[in-house]
Parts: sequence; structure tokens; C-alpha cells
Amino acid sequence: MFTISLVGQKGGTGKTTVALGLAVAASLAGMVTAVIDVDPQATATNWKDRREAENPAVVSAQASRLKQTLETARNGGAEFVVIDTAGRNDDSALNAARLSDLVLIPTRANVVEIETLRAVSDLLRIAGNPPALVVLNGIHPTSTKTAEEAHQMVRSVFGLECAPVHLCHRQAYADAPMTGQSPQELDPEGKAGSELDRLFRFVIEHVNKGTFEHV
Amino acid sequence: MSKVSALQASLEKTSGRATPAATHSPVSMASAVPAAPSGAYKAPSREGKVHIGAYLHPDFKRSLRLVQAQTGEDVQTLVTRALNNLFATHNVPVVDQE
Repeated sequence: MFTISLVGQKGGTGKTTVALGLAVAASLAGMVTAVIDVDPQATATNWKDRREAENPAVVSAQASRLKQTLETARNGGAEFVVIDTAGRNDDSALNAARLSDLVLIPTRANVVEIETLRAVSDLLRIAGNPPALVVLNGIHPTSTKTAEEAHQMVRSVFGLECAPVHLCHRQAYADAPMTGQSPQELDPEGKAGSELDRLFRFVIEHVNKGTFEHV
Repeated sequence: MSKVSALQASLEKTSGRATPAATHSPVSMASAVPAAPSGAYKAPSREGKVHIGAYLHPDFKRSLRLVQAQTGEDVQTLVTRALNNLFATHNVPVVDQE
């Protein structure tokens, strides 16, 4: 079972967007998928209420029950689990980081948001330095330099690595959740869906250390 | 029932079990506590917890009692709140549990 958590100190950085995008990508790849929503705002759970498809399973859970919920997911045959945390630095993010194979930290590529990575970096240290990658989000589609400069800043200032796939600012990310879908489902040929699919494939490959064949 | 539907049902069951008061009854707490090694009794309420203490000027205690009188909260709750305020100031993870 792959367990990925989405962590970050700020709200609105794209944690739930990435969580649901990866979960749907896993579902489309044929994996039994679960989203554990420990964010009290329950955005992912509300998305599931609007959704018609049954995969992924989504459950709103208390942070203090995360371990038991993960165990239930494992026993229930889940192959890919995404934990969506609240946009603050607390013990739910800490627990999620400790229990994950990979921590993803979505952030927008501006200095105000990148500065908050210092607190996330501290949180990861307290969690025992689990594998973690920053995912740049909201990049202008025609910009070539922004992502590259942000990669360098994140690496040099906070010692964190960025995923090689970033997400651009696209309307599909706002439209898809309205009907309980993800961009891949709204427009299977679209660029947003393609970004999420590439991110999913990278994540699996990263966790699997290059053994991607079974997906 | 499909595999995903079964998973959804079992996750909801686990999630739903998180709140009943019965799971926090003294009886279930006591039964969850592992047998203490001989001569090292630990109160069930302290199981899984650590002690954090400091020797301070008596005025700290006096003011603490005044806050207790105002809020009606016990010392543990107040120390938890004070530490979480400290953690938030220093941008380290705050703790949701007492």
C-alpha cells in the first residue's frame, strides 16, 4: 500500500487539489484508492458527496485516529492512500508525515508562500525526515523561468527537493471539483489532467524506486 | 459489493467509532493499560504521557491560580494551552491532544 500525505502550513496552496488529482489518477490506473481527509474543513469529503464514481473511497477522520484509519484501509485492500491535512502546522500534519511513504508539499511559486516552507521543514525534521517533495502549483502556463527559479530557491534555502512535475494555473482545477470530478475526468485530453497523471506516475516511481511496471 | 464500496464502508465504520463516549470509559482505559512492571506503578491517566516541569518563582503559581479561577480549567489544560501558544509563536507543530 502506498501512502502519500499532503502537508503545508498555509491554506489554498493546492493540497486537496493534488490529493484528489492523485487519488483519481490512481483510480484510473486500476488501483483501489482511499483518501483520508483529516482537514476539519472536509473539502475532500464534500467533493466525494458530489461525486458519482465510487473510486476513490473518501473518509473524514480525526487526526488522532489516523493510524487506525490507515490500518482499516490496508485491511480493506487499499493500494493507494492519500492523506489530506489541514493548512496548519499541527500534530495531524506531523502524524500524517510520520505514517507516509512520501510527503508532498504543494506551494505556489512566490516568496511569501515559499517562506512558509521553513516551518514545514522543521515539521519534517520532527517527523524523522520522511521522504518529501515540494510540488509547485499555480505556475503561469507560458512561464519557463518561474518554476526553475523556485526550484533553486527551495533547494538552496530550505534544503528541500521539488518534484520535476509542476501544476500550472488552469481553469480545469477550479471547474472539476464542482461536479465531484478531477481534471482528468472533466477533460481526458486536457493539460491539467496530463500534469496530474505525470505527477502520479512520478510519485509511484519515486516511492517504488524505479519499479513502475506493476501500475 | 465491490472492493471500493467495501473499503468505503469499513473506513466509515472506523471513522464513526472515533467518537462514542464508551471508548473513553474508565473501564476501557483500564483494560487498555498494559501491566506495569513490578514496583513501577503508573496512573492510567499518565499512560503514554511525559512529565514536563520547571521550578519557578511563586508568583507564577499565584497567577496561574488566578487564571484557573477565571477560566475554571485545570492546570494540565492551561499548561497545554500555554505551550501550544509558545509552539505557534515559534512555528513548530502545535498539539491537539492534552
